[in-house]
Amino acid sequence: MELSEEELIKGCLAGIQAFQQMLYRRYAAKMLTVCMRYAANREEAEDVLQEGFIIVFEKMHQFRMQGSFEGWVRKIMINKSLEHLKKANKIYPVLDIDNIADKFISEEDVLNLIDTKELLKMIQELPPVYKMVFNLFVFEGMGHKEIADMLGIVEGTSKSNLSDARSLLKKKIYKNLLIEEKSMYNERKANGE
Amino acid sequence: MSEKQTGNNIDEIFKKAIEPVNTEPSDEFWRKAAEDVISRGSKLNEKKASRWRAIAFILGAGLLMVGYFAYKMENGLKNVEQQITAVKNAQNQNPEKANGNINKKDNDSPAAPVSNNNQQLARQSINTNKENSAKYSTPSIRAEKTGNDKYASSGKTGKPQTIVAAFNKKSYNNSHHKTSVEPPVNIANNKIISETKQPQANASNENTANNTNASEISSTGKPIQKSVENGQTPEYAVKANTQTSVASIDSSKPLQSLEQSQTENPSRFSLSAFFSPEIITGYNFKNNDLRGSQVESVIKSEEKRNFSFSAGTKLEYELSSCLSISAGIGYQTFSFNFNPGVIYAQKQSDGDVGYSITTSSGVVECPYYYGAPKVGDSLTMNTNSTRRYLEIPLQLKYAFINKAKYKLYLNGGIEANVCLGESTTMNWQDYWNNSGVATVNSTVGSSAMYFSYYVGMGADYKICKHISLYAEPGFHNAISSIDNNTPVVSYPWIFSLTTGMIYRF
Repeated sequence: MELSEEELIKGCLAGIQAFQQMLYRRYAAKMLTVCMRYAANREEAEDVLQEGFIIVFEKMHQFRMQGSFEGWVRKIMINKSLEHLKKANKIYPVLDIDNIADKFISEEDVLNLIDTKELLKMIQELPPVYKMVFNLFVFEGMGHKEIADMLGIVEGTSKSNLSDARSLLKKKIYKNLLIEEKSMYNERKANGE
Repeated sequence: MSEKQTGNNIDEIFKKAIEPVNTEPSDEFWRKAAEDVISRGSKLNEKKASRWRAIAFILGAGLLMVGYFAYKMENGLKNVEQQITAVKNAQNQNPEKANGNINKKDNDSPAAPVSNNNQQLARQSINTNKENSAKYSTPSIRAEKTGNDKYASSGKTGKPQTIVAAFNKKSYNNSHHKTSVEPPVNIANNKIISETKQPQANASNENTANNTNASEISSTGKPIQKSVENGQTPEYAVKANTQTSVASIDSSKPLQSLEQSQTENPSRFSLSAFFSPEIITGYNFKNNDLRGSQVESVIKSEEKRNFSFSAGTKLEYELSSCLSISAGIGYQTFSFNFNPGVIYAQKQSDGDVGYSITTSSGVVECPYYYGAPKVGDSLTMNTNSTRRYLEIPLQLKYAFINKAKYKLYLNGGIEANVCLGESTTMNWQDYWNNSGVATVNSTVGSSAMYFSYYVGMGADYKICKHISLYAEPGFHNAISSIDNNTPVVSYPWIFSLTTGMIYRF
């Protein structure tokens, strides 16, 4: 029988090792995905995840059993990711970007033709500040004002960075789709269709 | 693809694609996570143990200080009581001296003879009687022969002689004959504790016309009879011996010696040192999960207890002649062998495959350095473990037989046992004949502290006034378990034979 969040937290606070291990098992996979969206690669994401869990155990007594514990852990992971980026001096504005023509990209095409890992990699390859703004806006549902306060930028910059991030991602998707279409064409040709 | 421009389309695409995805961390991550959990547990245990060590140290230091101050206080009170006793004794013995009862005739003394002026007073010294020398001593008294065959004083019987002088009352009253209270003499050593100085009597009324013989004050302070000439009222001239005189003491009542006074007012505190061989006779087990009963049977069959002991000190305070309370501190060590024979590699709590054994005090993880074991690999192993505790007992003792030389008593109380550390040495050999010895200084799930109660019965034999020896077989039973969060938790039963020495202040 799976333990409730409250039971799990109480067991961890009591220092019971079995409960602490259970906490790792319950949230590590999900939180790694979160960290990977902010990190440049998997190794960096796992380092952030490790450090994030240390903070979770240290600050667990501050959690007041109000709201989702998963959401609380996620916020810690995001803050840790941001700290990591700031430490590595990767938060810098990117002003110049190649504007590409907006083309409609079919969601169905993307989900069918492009692997999730590829999509995740596209986010990882974004410039750090674009990555942060895109993740915070799209996945965490934060507003531009909140994002601006968090990153130490103005609201306008947050908006423009989001727009630029979208453009870059579209570019990558488009490029990927073209490659896929080309390979599909070649495959059909080889089959004599 | 149509060329329709959209803004939020890309957001939805990524959100739908990525948000539900879980990414499994690598083995390296899980290894670090396991290390983090173990180190967190060790730190917590270490913190708890060091906290209890500090408390035990403070309690021990406090006990010693209390014992020291109580000892000092008892000594001080004893001295005061001694002085009071001495004063009382002195007052009891010399009431007549204090009052200067000069009119009383001592029945022991001969009647004062009337001397002739012309007669020579013979001087006679009264020697201290050897038989009574232990009880009292008298100074040499010089008396003059007052008659043909009579002497003013005689020391032949050895008893202190009081010599009554027929004297002129008036002349006496004019004298400055005073004596101070005489302190007691230490009979045992025949020494003078203190001395009385008698002031020089004023010889202003001395009749020196006919009898100018110096007369001296007897040891009892009464004037010596002086020779009287022809019907004249004998007068006396008292010439006090200005030197110190020795107090005489009634031999029928020996003074209370120092040792006696100590016996009547002994200290209530005593300090004991003990050594106790112990053996864990068994455990009460409580199963925590489905594997508990299996683990319990393995522990019962494979764990062999070795010689164990505890040693320490206790401070005891007597509430009454039968009841006393004690607190102490001791070092306790338990040793046992655990020989499971063959153990198999299994998935551990951290997710890795490895070797571990579950003992009565927790899980010992066995390091293996010849590659990562797979499920089903095996090792042949035997281990020896030692657990060390700081024992803090608080006990109540009731003596149901209490004689001068020995007593039999019941003793019981509670104990706090703080874990100071554990060490397990493992001798292993694998399928490919690789072998090794590994020592692990931590046990997963071991409690930092556990409580137990104690009952015992003992005998105490007094070999001298301050020191006695005792022997006390007893049982300790754990109230809280010595481990937690393991498949089975253990509550040990321990038999002990405590022997020791008690010093009573």
